[in-house]
Amino acid sequence: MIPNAQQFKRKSAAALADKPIQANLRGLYSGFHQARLAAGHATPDWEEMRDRGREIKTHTIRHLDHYLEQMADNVTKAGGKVFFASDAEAANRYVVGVARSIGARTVIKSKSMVSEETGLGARLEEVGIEAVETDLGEYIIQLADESPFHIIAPAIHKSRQEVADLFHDRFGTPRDRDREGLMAEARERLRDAFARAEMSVTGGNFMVADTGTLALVTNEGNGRMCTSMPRVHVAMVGMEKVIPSMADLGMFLKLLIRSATGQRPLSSYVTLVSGPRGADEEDGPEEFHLVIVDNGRSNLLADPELREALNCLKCGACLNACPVYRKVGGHVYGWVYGGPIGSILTPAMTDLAEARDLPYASSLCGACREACPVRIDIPRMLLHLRKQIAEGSPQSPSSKAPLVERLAFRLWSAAVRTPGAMRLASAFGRLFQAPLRRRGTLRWLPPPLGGWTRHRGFPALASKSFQDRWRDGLNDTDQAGRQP
Amino acid sequence: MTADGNRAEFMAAVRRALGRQRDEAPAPPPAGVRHPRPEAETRADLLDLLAHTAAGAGWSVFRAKSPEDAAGYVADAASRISSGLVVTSAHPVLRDAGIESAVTSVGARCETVAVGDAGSDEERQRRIAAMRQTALEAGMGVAAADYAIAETGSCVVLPGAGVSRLVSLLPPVFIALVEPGRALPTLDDLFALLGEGLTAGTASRYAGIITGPSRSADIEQTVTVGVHGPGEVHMVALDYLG
Repeated sequence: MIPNAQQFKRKSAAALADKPIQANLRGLYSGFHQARLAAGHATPDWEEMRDRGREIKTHTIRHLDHYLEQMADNVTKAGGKVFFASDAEAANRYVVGVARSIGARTVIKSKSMVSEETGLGARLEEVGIEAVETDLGEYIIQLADESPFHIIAPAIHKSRQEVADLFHDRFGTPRDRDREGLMAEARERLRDAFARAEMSVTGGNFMVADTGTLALVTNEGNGRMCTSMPRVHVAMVGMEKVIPSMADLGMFLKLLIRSATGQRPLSSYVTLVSGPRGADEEDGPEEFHLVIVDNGRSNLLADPELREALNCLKCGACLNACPVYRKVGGHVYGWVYGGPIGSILTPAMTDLAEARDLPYASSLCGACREACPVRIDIPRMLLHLRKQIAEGSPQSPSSKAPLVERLAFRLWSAAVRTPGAMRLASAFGRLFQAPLRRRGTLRWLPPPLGGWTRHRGFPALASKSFQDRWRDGLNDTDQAGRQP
Repeated sequence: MTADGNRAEFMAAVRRALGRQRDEAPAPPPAGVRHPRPEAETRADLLDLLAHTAAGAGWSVFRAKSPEDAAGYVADAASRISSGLVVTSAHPVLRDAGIESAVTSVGARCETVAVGDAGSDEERQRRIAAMRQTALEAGMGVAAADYAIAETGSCVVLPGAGVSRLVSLLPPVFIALVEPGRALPTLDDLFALLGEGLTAGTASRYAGIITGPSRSADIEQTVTVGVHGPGEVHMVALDYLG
């Protein structure tokens, strides 16, 4: 998928005006967010699990090379094949190569955000191989030709009626199908795809290094279908998904699942794959390929300030907690990952200049950090990216803030350090604000300052500075000058 | 195209990003939180807990007091399916409980699905296709659980000779028979066992941990069951073996 994060502001405005999207977004908070809080409260040692989870992930990322080597060695030993893909093109080329080597005509896919990153589905279609998404939400957005709206609930923005209309247009089913009816329709069509597909492509929630195991979490069972039905199974996994030991898999599964959906005790299916079908087994894939993908992750790894973002378990909790995401939704972030973590991943993995609006798409309220199962300090990293944007970074000098803005802040910075200049500037400010001031607020500012007042009032300067009031013994009051 | 072709280059990039030249064995990772063992002193306590958590996870739980009891429960479920076909895996527990004759006594067919020794790959693919067709037509699957987890109310099914992955996956109804000795207190206990087995090369390279019915909340965040896997799941605890 080609990043397109340039139009964040315009698309946000459109999403805010979209009533159905707003209605569907409300459920994220009342549903997932509240369920996550309840699950945390009900789990003994929850806070300690979060601390340990954070420590283990930090350790693993710090020694990522070591654990990836171990993972690859163990998968190879078990008869699987491992391919390391530095970028999207390398990953797609390998997967297409595997599909061609077995003459695959149909590939079934279980939800994989990495394959969204690389645009694998479109690539397979280009070379004449049918690619069918099997997660119900992904299937719906594939039919609608959209991108995922949410990491774990890709079609959350669509109402039942919209899905029914979509199925009607594509399959001629009645428009009044209820949820069960829509699901039954999708199941029948997907069973057909499962039966004829020669190959599957899945993601992976964890790679367990010490046993060479891939762990897949699903509720629908499409993960099990993809790892049981076709002759060949290819897993595309981001390189940060590795954990050192099977001994900790239970804790990480609970951290992930309870943060994602609030489900207790577990999601319906946890599937562990450590290689192809064993010789004495009845069925299952004869070939297992693990594609470990970098695709920009090493940018995060190389920056000690941003490395922490690789601790992410992709649970989506920060999206549900974020007051900005909950209003604008996932399609305005312009790439695969939305919400607070997406505002770090997209600029760092793609192009800071293109995605320069994203680090500002946050009030830095800290709800994301609070929601994150491994306590990733997202606001700190958003600030770091803002700093890079303001100053220009070695990787992206073109992302620098405009000259006017840099000049304005330099002037401001000089003024606050010089009492005389500050007094003079304040005096000018009071003079010019007089016609604009209404009950302590400026409702309108002229260009180029107009952006400040487009959606809210700007606090006016008090008619008397604090220093002046102090000198006068603080006995006057300046009600009108106070902020509303 | 060699699968390993890009490994050295990829690892070099990772090490460059980490500011390192070569693989350095790290100190052991910090220990994770192991969930405390539930307070279950006897096997009966453990089964009580399993029954409780499994019911919470969406299983219909039945405690069988005798083989006839278990077979009767399965037969009763079989009598409710419309397709008239039940698929099973080859497992001594099913045979000992007399599942097949109980199912046929209510007028349903019972078939143990397996590929067996096919000889050629062509023959193997033909048999797999036939087995798959049978499993797709079946209204119910019955298998023995390799493990059950009291903490989470899960059944673990491992593939093996005579045990197809499809029995617990394709039919709309699934019944798992649980021998009391197969019940583990926690998820961590399961992963300790699997971890040891995989390291030693003895454990199955595939494991399905099933916790309730197949579910989706992808349309309007409302839970609907039976998407790709079974929408109705039963756990039959074989208490009489305890």
